[in-house]
Amino acid sequence: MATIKEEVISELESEAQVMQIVEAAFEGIDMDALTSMTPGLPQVARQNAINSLLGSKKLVIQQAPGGVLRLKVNTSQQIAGTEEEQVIYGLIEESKTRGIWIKELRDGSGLNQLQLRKTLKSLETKKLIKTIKAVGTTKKCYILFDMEPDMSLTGGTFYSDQQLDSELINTLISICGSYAASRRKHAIEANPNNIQLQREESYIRPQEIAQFITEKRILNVPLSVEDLDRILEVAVLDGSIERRADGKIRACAPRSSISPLVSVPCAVCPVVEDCRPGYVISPQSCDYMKNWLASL
Amino acid sequence: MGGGKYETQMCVIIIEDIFGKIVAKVMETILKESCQLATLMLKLKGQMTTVLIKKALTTLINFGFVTFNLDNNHRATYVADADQIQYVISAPRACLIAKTLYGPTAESICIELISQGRLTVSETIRRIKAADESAVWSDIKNAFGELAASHFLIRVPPVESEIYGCPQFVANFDPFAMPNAIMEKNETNSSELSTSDSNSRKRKADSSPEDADAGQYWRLNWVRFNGYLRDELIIDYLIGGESTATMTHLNVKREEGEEVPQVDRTQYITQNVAHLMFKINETRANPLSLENITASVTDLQRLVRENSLDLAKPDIELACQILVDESDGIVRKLGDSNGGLYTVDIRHAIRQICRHHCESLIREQFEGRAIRVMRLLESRHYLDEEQVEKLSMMSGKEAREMLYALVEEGYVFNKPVGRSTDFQPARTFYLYYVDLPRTVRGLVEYNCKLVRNLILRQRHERAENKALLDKDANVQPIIENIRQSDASEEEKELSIKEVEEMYLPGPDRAQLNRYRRSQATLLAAQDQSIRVLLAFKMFLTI
Repeated sequence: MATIKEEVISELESEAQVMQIVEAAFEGIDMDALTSMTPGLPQVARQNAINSLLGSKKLVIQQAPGGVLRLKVNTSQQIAGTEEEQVIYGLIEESKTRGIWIKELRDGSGLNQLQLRKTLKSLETKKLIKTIKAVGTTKKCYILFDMEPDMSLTGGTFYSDQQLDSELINTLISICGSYAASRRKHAIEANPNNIQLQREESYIRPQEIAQFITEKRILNVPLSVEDLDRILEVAVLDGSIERRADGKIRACAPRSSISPLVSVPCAVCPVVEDCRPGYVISPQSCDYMKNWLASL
Repeated sequence: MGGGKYETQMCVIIIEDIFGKIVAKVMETILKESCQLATLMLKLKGQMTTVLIKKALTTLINFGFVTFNLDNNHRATYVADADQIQYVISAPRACLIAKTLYGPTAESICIELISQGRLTVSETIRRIKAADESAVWSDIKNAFGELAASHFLIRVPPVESEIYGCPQFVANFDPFAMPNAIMEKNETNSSELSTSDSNSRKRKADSSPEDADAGQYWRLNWVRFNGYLRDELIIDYLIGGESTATMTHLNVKREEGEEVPQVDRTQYITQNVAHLMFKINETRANPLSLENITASVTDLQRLVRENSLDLAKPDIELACQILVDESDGIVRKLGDSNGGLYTVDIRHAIRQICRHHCESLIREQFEGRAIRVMRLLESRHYLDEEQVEKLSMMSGKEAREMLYALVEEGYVFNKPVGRSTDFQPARTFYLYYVDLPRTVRGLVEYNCKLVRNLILRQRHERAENKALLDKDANVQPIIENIRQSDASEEEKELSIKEVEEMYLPGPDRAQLNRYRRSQATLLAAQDQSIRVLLAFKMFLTI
């Protein structure tokens, strides 16, 4: 009988093979897939390789949403602490700037409430993680200590204490409007006879306004172009400026005319719905009308 | 054909102002539901006699406020024409248009036609001559001809035959052709008047059968007037309120005193060019056509020469450029043929005008930020609360309250989109959107209510001050007599003052002045509101 010569594979080789496959799988890989991808390895060798990789913390096991266990390359930073702390830390790190809720932590780690709370506390005292409150919700999110939370959590530059800073926004809108208007006025004065130039010179790049705002120290934090774009977008809606296809903006001609309807008191009358001739509220006995006609 | 509740009320009040309560009652009944004479009589049973109903109907038909047609059972059905009634308010403006375009004689023709509903040419001439003896009949005839040629007047279709007692009108005829016979008739007429009294008495007895153009009735062509009013509205929007005015406005501030003509010139140029653009298309087949007006610089130059205006080619080009630049896309440049081809987008212009009125109202009812929400929804169509909040940069509470207020006033609408079939609130998106036609339909009603209130108030003021007005009416002839007396200027002044003091002491006169001012304001407000109403209605036909 011929004996099948067993290929002797060293532990190191098998480890390297497993590592390579797991690394290639971005989302992690489950056991069955790993088995099918490493047909050259006997069961025992594969198990040993995985165990040694897990032991040296090069790989971790994670529970995927469907309950399947997956092997993943351990990307999280090693911290000095217990196993639990390491797991929690890893989960929080993975959430990056978006933060992670306590419920997601519990599901992801499989720890019970008590353990979880204890671990989080200890991580917080070690200044490894911090909690932040997202805008508009009371949900607490955990995030790495040295991370800046995402825009969607803080709401961006225009939020302070989870509240929209309306005053700041209104100031910025009016600054943008008046800056563009003064530029337009200047352009018209500089070229009284050339409409083309008047128009060309009244257009400004948004960066110019950003620079102006930074220079004048209207805002303590630097105003990013995206933030300014949002402000300009609103100014466009308000009708104070208009935007050209190339992104440049200019002030709109001020619209002085108002609808003639508005001058009649009925336009803003709070009781207009109840106004009927011959009743308590009627055009004949209307005080608004009386005042309006008397004020002429 | 009546509109909503307030439109009907407005129409009834207008009719009541002209013809009194009885005709108004008949009008109201027909406005509420088109009906046959028998039904009408049944509805008004006990309120007035049959004769009165019939008389009221003839009056209304004569003025074009009611039309009739045969229904399937060969019965004449009377239908109200609400639009025709509303034109009554724009009548002063129509007279003004006629006056500016064709002089005071044209104005008196319009006044006669409006006050009588419809008249033949000869009758019109006779009436104007009766009111103003200095009028020359050939002048009146010429003015009439001009108005007819420019389609401001139209002939009422003549009766052809009768079917089941309902007159049938001639369908194919030239409604703007002047009758040739006026001349002859007038010659005989004037000779009759001058030669013998017996002749004229005979004519009276025969109820003037010798009028050569008898039965050829004319009325105001309101469609044409409305076309003119529409052009005026768009030009006002282009120049009056904003765009060019501000361009030059800025210049005014800068060169105070020194270069004023230059300033006026830019405005003069743009205004004239805008007018000319509309003039190109003035004689269109359908005055309310929504087709774009296309004008080339060469066309404009030709019109400048025809109207002997002081505009050179560079001026026209400059004006076109300003109009393109500042009209929100109403005036656009199409190409370079014929020295530059420009187009006026009528639909867009009407839409812009309506939006402008809406926004003005919103600004007055809420605040500037409501307009922001409105424009946001208009450009992005369907948004939920959270998106509105983010994009308009308002806090959640503010945005929500604003949206609810806008929904309540009918400027914004919401549409529930359920994630599940039960539309449970927690699983439903509420998308907000702007539906301008729907809003405008609401505003038309609202506008009618406004006009109704203005007319009622005007009537009320008139009643309040009736005693004063009577007094004033008594004083005026006395003052007129003093003026015509032979006394010296100083004496006259003195006695006039004396009489005024006696009849109308200080407070009374002040009150009278206040009354006149308020009447003027109310009338102006009515006219403006009707103009806006016209714009709204035009928008709804787009």
